[in-house]
Amino acid sequence: MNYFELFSLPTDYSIDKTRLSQTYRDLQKQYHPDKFAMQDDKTRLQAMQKSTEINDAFETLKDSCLRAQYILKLSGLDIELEQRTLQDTDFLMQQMEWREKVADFTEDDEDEIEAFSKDISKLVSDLEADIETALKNKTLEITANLIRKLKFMLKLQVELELLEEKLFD
Amino acid sequence: MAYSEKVIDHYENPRNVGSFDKDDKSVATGMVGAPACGDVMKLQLKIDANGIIEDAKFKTYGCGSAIASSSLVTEWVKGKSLEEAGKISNTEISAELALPPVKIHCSILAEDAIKAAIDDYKSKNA
Repeated sequence: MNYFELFSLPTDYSIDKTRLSQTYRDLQKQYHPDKFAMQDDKTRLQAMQKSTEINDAFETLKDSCLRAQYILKLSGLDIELEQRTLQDTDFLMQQMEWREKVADFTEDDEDEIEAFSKDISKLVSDLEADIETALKNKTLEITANLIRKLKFMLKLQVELELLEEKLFD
Repeated sequence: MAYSEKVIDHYENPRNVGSFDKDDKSVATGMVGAPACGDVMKLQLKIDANGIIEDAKFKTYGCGSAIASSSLVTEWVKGKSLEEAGKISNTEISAELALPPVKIHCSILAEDAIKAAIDDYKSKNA
């Protein structure tokens, strides 16, 4: 049973987040270790494994990048543990420029940081939309490349969040 | 995570941080990124008239191991020919820095940066 089936959801990139969270709570209740405390060892172990699987599935399905990677894996292309490097010079130059920009922001740049965060969020949404299209078209290599790019964008977002915390909290 | 002393040394005192003009014909630029962690690395080599690497600079946005790998590589390539530099492998880099298995991709990134820089130089001067 794959993660989507476990959550009774269609194997689609676009996902009903409310339903995902609701099903997660229901499943967790159903397989909560406390409910099996009086059962034999084997049943308890199975319930614990199920509970772990439910957690793994939820973590994967709720994350736009991990979800795309998981659908790609179901389609036969596993890039989860790949060690290869990306060599798209234009894309990486842009990433480098953005990282430099983030490194140079100071507490006087609050408005710029906010505007920049919005721009990056928009680009992330665009990339996710492209991934959805590529998955629908079953173009696996194109999807894989878009996911790789998404990872750099998400890293940039994390750096921005850390910066905002450091400067304004 | 425990970093080795050599990683910490390179991380705290990175060698050769900076940039050359990428449009200069004697400058080779290698841009690489690791999707696994979102690290970005730029390695630039300045090549003299005899095809020897006279200087090297890097800029890396990433973890300590990625910074140390690129810093180390800038030291190693100086004085080498492009062909010799192209033979530097990630296993040498990770052995020198005692990188743990989860950080091997940082040394792969540095190796690929050298190769990308060499390719850039060749296509520029073809």
